[in-house]
Amino acid sequence: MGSVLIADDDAMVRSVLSRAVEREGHLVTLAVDGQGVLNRLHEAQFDLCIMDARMPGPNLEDRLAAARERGPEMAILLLSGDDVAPSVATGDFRFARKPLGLDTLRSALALIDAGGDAR
Amino acid sequence: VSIGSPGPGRRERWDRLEGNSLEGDRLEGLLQSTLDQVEIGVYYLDRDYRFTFVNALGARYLRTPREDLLGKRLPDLFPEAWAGPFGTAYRRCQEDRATARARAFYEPFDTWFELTVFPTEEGLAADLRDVTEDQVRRRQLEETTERLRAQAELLNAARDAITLRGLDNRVEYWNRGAETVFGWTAAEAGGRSVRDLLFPDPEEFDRRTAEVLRKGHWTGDLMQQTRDGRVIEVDARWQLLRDGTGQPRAIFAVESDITGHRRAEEERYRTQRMESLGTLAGGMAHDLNNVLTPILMAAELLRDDEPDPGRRELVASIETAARRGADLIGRVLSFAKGEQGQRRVLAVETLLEDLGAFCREAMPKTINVDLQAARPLPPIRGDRTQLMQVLVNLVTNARDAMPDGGELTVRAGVRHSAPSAEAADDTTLIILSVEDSGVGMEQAIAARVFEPFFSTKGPGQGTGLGLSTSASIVKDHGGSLEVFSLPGRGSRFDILLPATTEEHEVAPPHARQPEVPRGNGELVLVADDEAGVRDAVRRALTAAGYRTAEAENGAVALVLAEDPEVAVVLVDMTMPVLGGAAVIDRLRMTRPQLPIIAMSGFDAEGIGVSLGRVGAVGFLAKPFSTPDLVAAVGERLNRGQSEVAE
Repeated sequence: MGSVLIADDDAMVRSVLSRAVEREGHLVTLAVDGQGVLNRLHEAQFDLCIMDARMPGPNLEDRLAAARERGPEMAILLLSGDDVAPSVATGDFRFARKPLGLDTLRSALALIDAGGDAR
Repeated sequence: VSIGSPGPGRRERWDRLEGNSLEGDRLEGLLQSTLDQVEIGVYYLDRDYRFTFVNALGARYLRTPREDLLGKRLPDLFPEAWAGPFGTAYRRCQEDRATARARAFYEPFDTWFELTVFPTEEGLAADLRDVTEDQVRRRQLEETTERLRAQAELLNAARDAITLRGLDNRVEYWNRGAETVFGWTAAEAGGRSVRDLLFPDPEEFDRRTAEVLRKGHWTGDLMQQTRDGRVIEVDARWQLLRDGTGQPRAIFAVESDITGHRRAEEERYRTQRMESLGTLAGGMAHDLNNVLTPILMAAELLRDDEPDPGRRELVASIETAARRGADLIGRVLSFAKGEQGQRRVLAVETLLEDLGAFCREAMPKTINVDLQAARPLPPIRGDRTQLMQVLVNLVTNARDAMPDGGELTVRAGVRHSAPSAEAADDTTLIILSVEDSGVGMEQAIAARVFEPFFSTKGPGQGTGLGLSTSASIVKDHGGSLEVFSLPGRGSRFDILLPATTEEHEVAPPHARQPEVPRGNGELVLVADDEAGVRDAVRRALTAAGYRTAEAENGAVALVLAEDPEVAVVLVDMTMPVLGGAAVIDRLRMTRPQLPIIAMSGFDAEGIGVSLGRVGAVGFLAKPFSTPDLVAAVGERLNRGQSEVAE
């Protein structure tokens, strides 16, 4: 079981994503904007952060930098409605185009177990 | 006036009159007073050019009292006149005994004179007139003439057609611009009716002319016809001219050919519309992907929970629809961005070969496919994937235009375009034409097929983006896409691409064949939920010397992959039960050295495979051709072996 941060400004997306992640047996924390992401990252440690690339609040660069600082081991799955990954300096993340399927989500969640096994 | 040309022996007679009688005095006085009243300067000179008679006006013109003139020599009194054209006239008359004339400016008096000298028995008679005013008028006339000439020159230099026509519509003036614009010379047009000459729609001409007569002027756009039958659009300014009494006399027209300008304007307008559509579509696509996310994921969650097969199928259809929507959005996005692909030197033959492979798979048996290529074909510079996308789009449209079957002809040829106004060099163009014997299109439809979101296919059958994307790809390649169509006869699309003189990096097809590595009985695991894809891959790989094992979903694939004989795995990224990404992740853990090739209709980044993290995974974009497939498998096998060897 892992701890997953889901950040998206779209309530429907948050709702379905958290259901899918919970069903796979993980613990979900939600953030609705960029500032929320920074706050949650300060409050707790996560194994995986699923984050929309375009959200209100602090920009993507800052969010990624904060995520790296707070959780160097944390896997990041970046979601976007655009069809290419945003170009940012911090390149250590997975990218998935919306709409993402369960298989994409599961392969990202598999990283938690794989990381656990590896450690 | 007979006095102006006195008869012979007058001097003697006057002497006689003067000396001999009162009657003579009276006569002389009479003559003198008569001559003094004429408005001409008159004087007589003897053969030595001495003044013997001067009338009042003559003395005034010469600005010398009569008594100071009489008996004096003209050359002595007026040396400057003697030296000039006047002197020449006196001398010539004296010598030739014939009338001589001089018209000149006499500077000492600041006056223009006209002098006529007649020979007489005793010498010369002179008739002198002050023509200063006349000269000024003449000068003015000359200046006016010159100005008119300059204006006519200007009118001729103007690129506009400038014409004057009477109220009977007959041409009175026709400048050089009119010759250029309409093709008729001034000589040909002169006297003819412009109504007959220039107007394909005489009723419009009559309406406009009536308006000019009523309001005095008219401005607007008109369709006119040139000598060679072209219909051109002109920007016309008509002005009514009136005579001195205010009666309408003629119509003055200035007309510019704006046909080219109008076409450029339309092109610009269309480009702007495309751009704004692209921006709009891009923004909408992003939002739509967000909308589709919960739909797709919720459908998948529901399906996993659903034990009833019928309901599972229903839910699966939601999922399929969401994926199709996402695919469409992806196409809208790439259209909006107008992606610039990778440019390489390409052999046209290899494009045709790949297209042939596609046609064999995609065309029903009722359609007869004929591929023809002129040889040798010079190479082109372009993006293989993008150009294949264009060709595939055209042949797919052709197929859809022939629901009852027909002929599909794809021709590749060379066209040399002569040096033109646009291109100074002569250029070699590769022409790829895709022709069908299908339903064809009306002109009005054909004119719009390159517009985005314009589709003749039913809802859900076409995106309306295929041809507009194709046109922009070809345009990006420096070429053009043209359509020719006849309802009931079929359509032909010509792709014109500039040929390159660069050497191709890719060898021509006959030399390329042996380079594709063939298999040696290696076992290839093919995981794809579409039976059609599995069949096609199996046929292609078997033909290339491989063996295959097939899995219809990810879970089956993982089981089959436990067979140590499996040398390569081909995984579709969008499979039910266990998707491609999950399969790859598991395989990485169980068999880290096993070469994997991911297959997807999305691009490599869009499918959520972070290649760096998961490890060496090949990628094959759908739809792929047989050579692409065989090459990818061969390449992965070699790389895998070399990695193992290290």
